[in-house]
Parts: sequence; C-alpha cells; structure tokens
Amino acid sequence: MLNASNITVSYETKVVLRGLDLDINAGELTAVIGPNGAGKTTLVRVLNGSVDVTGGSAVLDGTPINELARPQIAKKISVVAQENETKFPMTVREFVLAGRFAHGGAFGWESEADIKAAESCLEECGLTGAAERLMNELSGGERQRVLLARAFATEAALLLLDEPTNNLDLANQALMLRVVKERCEKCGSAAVVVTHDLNLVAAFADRVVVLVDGKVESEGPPEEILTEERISRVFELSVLTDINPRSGKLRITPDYTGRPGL
Amino acid sequence: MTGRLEKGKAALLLVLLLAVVLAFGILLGSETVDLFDPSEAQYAILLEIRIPRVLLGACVGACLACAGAALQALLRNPLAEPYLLGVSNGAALGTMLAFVFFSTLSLTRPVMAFGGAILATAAVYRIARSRAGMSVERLVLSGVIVTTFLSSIIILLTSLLDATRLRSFTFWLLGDLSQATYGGFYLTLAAAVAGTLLLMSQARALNLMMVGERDALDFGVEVGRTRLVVFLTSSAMVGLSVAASGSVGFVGLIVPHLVRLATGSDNRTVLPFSAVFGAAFVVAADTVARTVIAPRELPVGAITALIGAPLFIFLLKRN
Repeated sequence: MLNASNITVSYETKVVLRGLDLDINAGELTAVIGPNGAGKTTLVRVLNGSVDVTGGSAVLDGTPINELARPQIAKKISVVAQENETKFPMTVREFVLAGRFAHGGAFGWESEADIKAAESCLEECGLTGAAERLMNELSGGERQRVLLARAFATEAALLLLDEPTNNLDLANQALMLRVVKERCEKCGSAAVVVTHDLNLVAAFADRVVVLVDGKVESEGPPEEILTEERISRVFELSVLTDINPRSGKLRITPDYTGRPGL
Repeated sequence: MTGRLEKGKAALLLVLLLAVVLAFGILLGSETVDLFDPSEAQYAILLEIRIPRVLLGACVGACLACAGAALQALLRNPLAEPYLLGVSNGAALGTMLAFVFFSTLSLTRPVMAFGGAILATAAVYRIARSRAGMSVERLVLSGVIVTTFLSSIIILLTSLLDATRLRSFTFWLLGDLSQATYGGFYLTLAAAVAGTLLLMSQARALNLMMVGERDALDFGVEVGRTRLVVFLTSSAMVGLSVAASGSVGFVGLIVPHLVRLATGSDNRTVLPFSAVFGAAFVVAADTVARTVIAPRELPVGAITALIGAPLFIFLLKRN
C-alpha cells in the first residue's frame, strides 16, 4: 500500500529522519513508538507527503507521493493529528463533512449519501446523536472521536494517527484504538498510530516499529519487540513485562524506583 | 433537506431586505423627492446623486463584508477585518499616491489601490506569522502597526494638499460615498460580483482552513493556492472599494459576525450572505449618515465605526 524507502529529512542543520525504510500493509495496525524527538511526527508528515524529503521516497500504490496532488492523497490517506481550537462555531456534522473536501467540486454541497456516510462514521466512533452539537461544547474525548470520524469519512484506505490518545481518559484511549482496529479488520484499511502508551500498543497493534534517532531500530509483532531489555534501553527507564492474566496480552509496567536515564 | 430549505428562505429574506434598504436609500435624503411626479431638479438628484450613491454603497458593502468573511476564515481569526488589518489603509495610500502623482489618469486610482491593498496584506501576514503559527493577538497587533505606519505616510501626503482638497480627503479617508459616480459603481459592481464568486469557489477549502492549515493540507486543500486566491481577491475587492469610497471601517467585522450568528460558519453560506447583507448594511448606514443631521452629512465610516468598535471589544473579550 505505502512503501517508504531510504527517507531522509532534515530541517536546516538538524537531521530528523536518516535513511528510514517502512512498509505499510493493508489490514494492519502499525504502532510507531520511540522517545521524544525520535522523528515520529515527521514520519507521519512524510507518509502523507506534507513534508519535503531530503532523500528517498514514499510510494503510494505504485506512485511516488510527491507526484500526487493534495486531493488525490487525501482520498487515500487520512490523518488524525493534534487538533487546533476551532475559533468559529461549527457543528460536529459540519466538521465531519468538511473532511470530504477531496470528494466534491469547488462549489458543491454534500449529497444525501455524503451526509449518511458522515452519520455512520459518527456512529462508528460512538457519537450517535452528536451531529448537531457544537465542536467547542464537546469534551476532549468526544472531540478526539470527532477527529477520527472525520478521518473515516474520507473513506481513505490508510489512516495516520499522531498521538491520538494524548490527554484522553482510560476508556476513551481504549475506545479510540478499538475503533481503529475494527476499521482495519472490517474494511482492510491500514493504520499507523504514533503513541507513547506501550500497553495500548501491546493490546491493539499488529506490528510495532521502534524509532530511535530518525531510524527504525526494530520492527515486528508486539510480543517480539516489546522486550524489557529493548524498552529499558530505548526509553532509558527500567520496565517489567509480563502477561496480563485477563487479556492474555503483554503488560508493560514502568519501574519508577530505578533512576531514569539508567 | 430542511437545512438547505432554511438557508434558501434566509437568502430570500436577505435579498428582500436589500431591496427594501435600497428603496429607502433612494427615497430618503435631505431633499424630499416626489417619486411619482418628480420635478426636473428632483429627477436630477435621483438619477445623478442618489441612485449612483446607493448603488455604490451596496457594492462597497458587499466587497468589504465578503472580503472580511474570507480573510477571517483564512487567518482563523474572527477579528480579521480589512480596515483593522491595514488593508484598507494600504488601498487608501495607493489611491492617494495615484491622486497626487497621476491626477489626470483616474484609472490609476483603483489599480494603485489594489497594489496598496496587496502590499499591506502581504506585510501584515509576514509580520504576524511566526514559527509557532499566528495568534489572534499577533495578527491584530501587526494590523495596528501596519495601519499606523501607513497612516503616517497618508498624513505626510495630505500636507501636500491645499485646504479644500484636504477637507474632502479627510472625509474620504473616513469612508465617504458622496463622490459616487456611475464609473465607480460599475467598477465596484464588477469587483463585488466576480470577487464573491471567486471567494465562493474557495468556500469548501476555507471550511477546512478555518480549523487549521495543517488540517486543510491533510484533507486535500492546496493551501498555497487557496491563500493566494483569497489574498488577491480580497485585496482587489477592498482596493476597488476604497478607491471609490475611502476606508469604510468595520463592515467586514460586523456583517460576517452577524451572518455566522444566524446561519453558522459554513463559508458556502457565510460568503454570499455576507455580500448581500453587507450591501444592505452600508446603504442603511449611509442613509443614516446623510439624513441624521441633514442637510449636513456624516461620513458613512463614522456610523459603521460607531457600531463596529464596541463589537470588536466584545469579540476580543470573548476570545
């Protein structure tokens, strides 16, 4: 679906990504983890072609992404990023429908089908009945789910989520990831989720990519990648890993007694 | 669909309102005109003074309100307004330069007004933009700085004028429709119609830009192109309005704000509704300006500022 090879990105003198290779496959939820400043957000911007690369290329379904126009990319790749505050009163429905920009003409109004699609995406994200509410009246968790619904409404086959669970309570964190995971399984979509929450990664990701200093340090299934040794080394904090007896999934517990920075 | 039906009704109401305001604007004035049996002098007043003035006012209002609405969405700032951003002053300076240096070529005025508006827009945008983005306050402050700078040049230029021209210029600077001509009307009519349509072609993109430039880029907007179209179009609309009637302030703030209150923030309705409501608003304000202390007149800009300044404070507080 999307293949990035030998990606190098530098801002002025700082090299952010150095010769990074990454393949994104349909139906897979890929988690990208790594310490602050590892280049995770830049990677997301590279994958949807909104950052110029210094070297290498990202190829989307056979076409280098920098040869595609923005609407063409938007139809195939959708993004959930940190949200700006909306300065103008906007309903949830208006917000989600705005996400279908790439599908309509310049003067166009949304069709009945567009509105139905938006409603069903809202329902999928647990926002049934919220269409008429104003964006600035929503809670943080609801807003984040609206962002997800807007990304779904594009019908793009690849979803990029940059720290989608930041500032969310436990239930909303799980809900976000579950909905994304279901989308991957049901529609064969691919998702790339940048996150710091290793337990969410262990519970929901099919594959983990560890990014350190602009390079892929390792990648593979969570149970192979999320080892005590690697996490402790990469994040410079000692952790314990075991199996959660209820879910059967890997569980990562930070050990705060050790001195950070090892 | 009920939403669209309601918008249709609102559009109809707005057009009716404009028609009523235009009719009143033509009827009312220091000289009472018998519409059914006008004397020759009254006929001349209607045809040569009132009608072009009312029509020009409508076009100026449409241009300023629609340009204001578009700039607000583009800059994600409900306080962005051509007058407050210095765009109107840029256009005013352009017009004055044309008047002082090319006084025989009347066509240079709108052209140089457009040039001035563009330069002022670009300057404010560059000053306001930082690596961290553009805050509401930073944009407003940049507007103040550019406005002050341009005002000082305008004052320098006015000192070159003789006393009679100085008085008419002071009036014109505050926004004055009394010098209306059919020539000015045709030019601003073209700007109002073409400009509104052009801005409407960007309405869906602006719906995303309103949330954030990065959002817009992610969802398929060619951000650079939209920005260029909106800046050029709004500068042309403001430039041609200012060349014809001076800087009528706050129209671009008041009108889009009221329209959004009534219909929500979708730019596909906000832009055309602002144009129509802006037309009605300026004609109404001008009718007040020339009747309230008749036979003397106030500049229309004084009336719009009287309403606009308190609203600006209210919006700033709420932000």
